[in-house]
Amino acid sequence: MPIKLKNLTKKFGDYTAVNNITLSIEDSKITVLIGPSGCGKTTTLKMINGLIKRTEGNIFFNEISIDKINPIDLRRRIGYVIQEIGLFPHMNVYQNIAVVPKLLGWKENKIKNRINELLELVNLNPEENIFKYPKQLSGGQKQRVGVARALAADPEILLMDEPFGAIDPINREKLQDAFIDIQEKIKKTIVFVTHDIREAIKLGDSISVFNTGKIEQSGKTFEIIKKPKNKFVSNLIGNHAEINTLEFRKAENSIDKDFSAVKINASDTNLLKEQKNSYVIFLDDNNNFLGILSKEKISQLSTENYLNNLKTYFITPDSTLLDAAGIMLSKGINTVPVISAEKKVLGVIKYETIFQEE
Amino acid sequence: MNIFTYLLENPDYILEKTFQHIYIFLISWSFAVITGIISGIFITREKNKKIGRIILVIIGITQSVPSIAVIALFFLFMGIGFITAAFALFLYSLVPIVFNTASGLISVDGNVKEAALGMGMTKKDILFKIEIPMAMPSVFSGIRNSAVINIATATVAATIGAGGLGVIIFTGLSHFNASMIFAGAVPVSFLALSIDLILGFLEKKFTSEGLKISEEG
Amino acid sequence: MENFIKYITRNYEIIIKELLNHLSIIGIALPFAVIIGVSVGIIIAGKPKISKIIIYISGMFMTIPSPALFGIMIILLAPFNAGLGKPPAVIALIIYSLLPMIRNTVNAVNSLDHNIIEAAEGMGMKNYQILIKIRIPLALPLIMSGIRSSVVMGVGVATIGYYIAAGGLGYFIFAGLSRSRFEMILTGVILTAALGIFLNYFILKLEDIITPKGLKISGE
Repeated sequence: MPIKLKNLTKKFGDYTAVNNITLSIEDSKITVLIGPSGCGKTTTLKMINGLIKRTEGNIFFNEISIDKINPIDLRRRIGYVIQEIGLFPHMNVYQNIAVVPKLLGWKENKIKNRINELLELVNLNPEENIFKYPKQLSGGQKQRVGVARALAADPEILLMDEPFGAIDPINREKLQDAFIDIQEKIKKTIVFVTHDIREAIKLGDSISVFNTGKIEQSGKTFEIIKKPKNKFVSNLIGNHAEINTLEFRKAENSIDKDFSAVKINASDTNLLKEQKNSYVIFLDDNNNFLGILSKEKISQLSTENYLNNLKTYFITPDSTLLDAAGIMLSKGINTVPVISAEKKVLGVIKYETIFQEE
Repeated sequence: MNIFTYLLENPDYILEKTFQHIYIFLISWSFAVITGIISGIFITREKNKKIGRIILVIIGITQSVPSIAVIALFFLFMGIGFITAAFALFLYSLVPIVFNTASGLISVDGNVKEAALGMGMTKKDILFKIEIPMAMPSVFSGIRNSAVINIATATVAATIGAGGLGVIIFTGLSHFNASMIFAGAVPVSFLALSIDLILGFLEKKFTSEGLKISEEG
Repeated sequence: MENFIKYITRNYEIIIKELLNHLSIIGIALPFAVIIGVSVGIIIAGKPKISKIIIYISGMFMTIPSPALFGIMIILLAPFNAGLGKPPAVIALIIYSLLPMIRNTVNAVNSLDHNIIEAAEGMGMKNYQILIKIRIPLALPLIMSGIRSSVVMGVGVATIGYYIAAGGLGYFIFAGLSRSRFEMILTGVILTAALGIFLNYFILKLEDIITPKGLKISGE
């Protein structure tokens, strides 16, 4: 469901936390609100589900003003994820996820099925975890439960307030990857608050850069990186200036021959484990390109499921590096295969090649 | 004559006094539990924050006033008798319950409450499904404390007409009769320990496992 | 009210005497309670099973009604010619103080972060140095709050001293009750209540002073 913020303002006494912002949040996409602390991003998020009352302006869901919707009903239709502490410590995983379905009066059986489905979705073994309490879970597991809980009643909108903020960098990457996979399946309208620009670029279809209660710039992630509107935005994005030259560089000149490719019919777990790259390309019996999977994803799947989960994005040799970068940023991956007209794999473009300073 | 003599020779009298003791305890304490939990909830509601803070300060001070002072004070106002004693006991055992209920509710993590609100819980939902269950350990420790204090204090309240086992103990004390003191004290301790045991059992039943587990790693 | 004022002005000497008596019962009992409680606490901390049993037993003492404990003390101490007066009152008070002292000490020692102790060991501190320089300063606030509970409790418990000729403020209350002298009772009520509140406040301030500054700054 699309959300529109129109001339939205929030004042706390004399202090203006959010100052006359207007923003369209696209349906079924991830919109990231980013900025330094105190910039108004979290306040904006909380105005969307009515936890904070706006001072001026309006918010529309499907063109309907928030004033016409009962706040309790509204919140039950919006998933809400905050840092890991938001789980209820006295409830086990099942009870935590069941909160909103129960508020909505679902039947026990329907809830049970839904919870199993959700735990599969966020990659937690239901049998092992369903009766565990939050204190028995690791930070990453808690966060997965938090996401499952927010999705419980199949809301159209998901609000996420620095959900991965309390998690160590390595696990954060993993959660982000898992989250991209999940969103590909569920296609919710997601508003995601973060202060981490890497996270914003990796997850966001669009980004809105906040500063002192105002939006400095908002647009497609790639557009923002390519054309930062002012000094504040370019400083925030960091040294990605060379991205402007990418559109003049042909992919064929940057092809990396160091990649892993296996025939899908010949692939067994051991063979796959031996591949040293983080992504493995799968080929059919004629050595034609089928798709690509991360090694992490492979480790979670059984052999017969590879085919259904393959990612099929690629570029042709005459594409530009800008195209490659666009795919990487929007899909959250670091390797894009380069495929000839005959469907043969010529090599890959790697993230490191494009963004050398990384 | 040994220490058990009085106990063995006067079982009926001791039993009668024990029942009196239980009676005044149950009346004063159960009212205290109900009133205490309700007031603990009341003073922690957002709209009552100001009064709440004042009440908590007063209660904090009252906790350091000896029970005998409270009992004697009520005697001054209400004279000798069962009602005076019961009322003084009620008020004295109210204090730990209000205090613990309130502090249990106050210590519920703000993030948890916000998550609940954000998920579409009403204030009532949050109170009954989140705040009270999470405050349970603290509430119970207040209730248990209050029960033990009540039973012990009821002994002293015998001096203003509470009846109960305190009568035997004080009579024994003024005659330096060890056997009599013992005969009064044993049932009091036994009562306190068994009530605590029962409440401990109830606490286990009504407290979520998730609050008892210690953090992993 | 007039009677009350008359009573205090006429009897201020007795009031001061009994107040001092009251304080001395608490004052004599306190160091014993601290030494016994803290050492038992330190010994059993880290042994969860034994701690549980000891704390439960000291909790059982708390259920003995104070007049009964005083009475029992008289009988037990009679053979040593110490059956009446302060010794039974002091010993009874020590017994009551065991629970708060032991429990708080055990909690204090157990709540110490293992990393801190490891760091101290890593820096080459010896066991006794760790005890003196790390464990005790960090445990002090909790131990002090144990002292506070036992002192405040002592104010009430010591009133029973009246019945065993130990003196104390209990005189005004209990003698007042048996003679129905309202002004006496009021004197006792005010004095015991004020003493409890004052001592609680006083030790609270003391806790504040001895708490290492770093412990007071609460993290965000």
